[in-house]
Amino acid sequence: MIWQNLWAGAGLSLLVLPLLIHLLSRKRAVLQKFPSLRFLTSTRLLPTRSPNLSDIPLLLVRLAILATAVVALMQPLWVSASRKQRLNASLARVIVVDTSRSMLGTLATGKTAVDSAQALAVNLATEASASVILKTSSPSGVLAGAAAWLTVQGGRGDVVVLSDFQTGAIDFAAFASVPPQYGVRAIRVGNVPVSNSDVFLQTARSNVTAVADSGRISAEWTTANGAESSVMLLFAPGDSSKVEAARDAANIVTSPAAADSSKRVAIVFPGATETRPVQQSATAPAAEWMAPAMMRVRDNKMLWSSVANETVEDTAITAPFAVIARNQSGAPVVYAAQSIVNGATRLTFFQRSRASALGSAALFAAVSSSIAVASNLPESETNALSDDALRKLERATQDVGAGVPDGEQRVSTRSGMSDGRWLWMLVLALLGVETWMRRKAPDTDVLEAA
Amino acid sequence: MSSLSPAVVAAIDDLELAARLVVEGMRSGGHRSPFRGHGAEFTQHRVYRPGDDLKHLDWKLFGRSDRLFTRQYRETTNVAVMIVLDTSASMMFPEKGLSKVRYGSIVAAALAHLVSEQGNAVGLMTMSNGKLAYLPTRGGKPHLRSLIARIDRLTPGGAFDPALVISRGAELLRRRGLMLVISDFYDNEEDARRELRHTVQRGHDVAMLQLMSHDERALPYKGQVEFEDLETGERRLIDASAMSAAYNQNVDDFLARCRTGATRDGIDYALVRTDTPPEKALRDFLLRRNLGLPHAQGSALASK
Repeated sequence: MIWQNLWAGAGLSLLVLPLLIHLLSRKRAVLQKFPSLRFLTSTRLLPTRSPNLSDIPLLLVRLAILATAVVALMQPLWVSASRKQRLNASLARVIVVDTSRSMLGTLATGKTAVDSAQALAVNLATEASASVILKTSSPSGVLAGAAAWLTVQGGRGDVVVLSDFQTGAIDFAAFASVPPQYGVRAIRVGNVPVSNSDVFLQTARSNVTAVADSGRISAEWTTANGAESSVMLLFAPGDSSKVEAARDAANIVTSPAAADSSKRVAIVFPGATETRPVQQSATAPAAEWMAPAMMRVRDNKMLWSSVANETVEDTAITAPFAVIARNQSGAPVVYAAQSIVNGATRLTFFQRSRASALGSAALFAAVSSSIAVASNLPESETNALSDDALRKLERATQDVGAGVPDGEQRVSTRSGMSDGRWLWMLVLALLGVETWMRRKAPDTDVLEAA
Repeated sequence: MSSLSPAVVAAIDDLELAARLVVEGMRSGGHRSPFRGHGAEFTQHRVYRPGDDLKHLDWKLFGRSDRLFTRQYRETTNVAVMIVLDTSASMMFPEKGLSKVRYGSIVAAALAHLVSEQGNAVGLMTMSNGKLAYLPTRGGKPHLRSLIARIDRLTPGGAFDPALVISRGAELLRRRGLMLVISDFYDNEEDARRELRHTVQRGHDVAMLQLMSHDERALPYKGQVEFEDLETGERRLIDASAMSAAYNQNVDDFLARCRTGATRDGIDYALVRTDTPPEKALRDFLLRRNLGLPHAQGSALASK
């Protein structure tokens, strides 16, 4: 027997109410028609309230009504053998389809691994009495939710993961978090690419092209697939080598990442010939991405530590410019705004220290990170989990039963399962009896007397 | 033949059928008319009662025994029997089961059937809701059916004026006959006794059938009960448990008064409880009359 709502048992304390009512109730005088009152003389009347409980049968029925209702509220569930058998015949299944980039490879059948996995998922779903298919690029991340869904279903359940199982793409701890009574199956679909070039293109080091003329160098970060991410560098004539050195230094200290080509940035170094018109066109950042990018640069600790010892004149920076970094004396070293540079709207960072300073490299690195697309390094993995490792992940589905940890409770959580409805029917019947007894009460006294 | 229980009798709607069943049930072999008259055929002696015709005194027996006896004869002519039935509201008790008025109606109808079957005349006098209802004493089956139908149509209710009903009944008995009074005798006790005595003094044979139900005899209630008088509507809240002993004493006194009054006045008296099968009550009553037992021995019919 399972009590699904045990706290409702506190309602049993209400049983004291009918006891009090029967203890304190005043007895009604029974009206009796009689042939003649000539032989009935007046008597001293008894107290109408007695210390004894009145009408015990009615009290018992009322107590039974309350107790039955409280027990019904506790939602009892009797896990009988037949009920276990019926539950074990059903199976709830969660099918997790890996839709990560590595699954986009084409199989020998001409279909992609994802398509094959989805078709297989549909077939697996038909085998279960209740199923759900989860498509995700991170199978490990949905296992907790899958387990929760199985718990709600009650009865038997399992989790089937369809993936190429790249090494590192599967979190063993997530698999372990699936409750032991639920089965786990790992089905390999597709093969991990032997070369990561296709994937790595997405995360490859950006190429920066710097074009110098008499007064400026246009340095373009481009990705191999042609997507363009432009960072324009404006500096004084003769500083090109210094700027290039700073760029190289930045590439050494930061992980290369693809840049979002839609995010255009300019960095203006001291002495750049276009500084004044750029500053004059400055406005507050309008594009949505600019403010977050500014904040990420502003939060870059390496930038702050690099410019700490820079010596610059303490100049007040006013709107629309925003200070990005200061030296240790509080003078602004880097500030930013939205400006028109070379005819395009860009998020423009103004570097007040020398181009050869450490702060320049730090600024390059910070800007590069702030506009980079998030990388997905695991997708570049070319190894897969072995079949033996997958077998260790798997386990069989366990039947519902007392021998299974939390097995009976699993049954109870199946939606709509409770024997309380029978008790409510009993309550209705008892209410009918109670009504009948209440109406019958006056005659009962007479019958008792007879 | 086994006795018909009051419940069975009460379940029979047809009063004539119920009466016939009662009569058939009380038959036990050949029998003589229980209604003794003053015909030529001597039947028995009986102790002299004031009011008896002196011409029927057996002077020879008086000479031998020095005690007065009246000679009784089998009626050679028809006996007129007047049935007086109380249909007052108090007779409607108990409300569930066989009420006293229904029981009395069955007994009255059975008696009428018996009387008429033996060639005697039978009449009815009653008071229903303050109005006298009367059927003269006649014989014959058509009259019997009419009388039973009249009893069946009686609507109980109101009070009962025994003095008026008994005196009118006695007046309407043109010659000396038998008056059977079926009542609980709650109303105007003294007046009723006086009129019964007058009826005897007129030369009529008088019999009292006093009806009483089980509940009004034993008062089987407990706790606080609000009693409502069926005739007056008066209510009285009483602790029935505490009242029981006093009530029983009062009822015993009342019944004793009725019995001793009947004895003194030369009236046949029978206390009949409504939980007694009607044919048994009638058989006992008539058997006692046939045996010529002294008056007022009817209490044997009403064992508590």
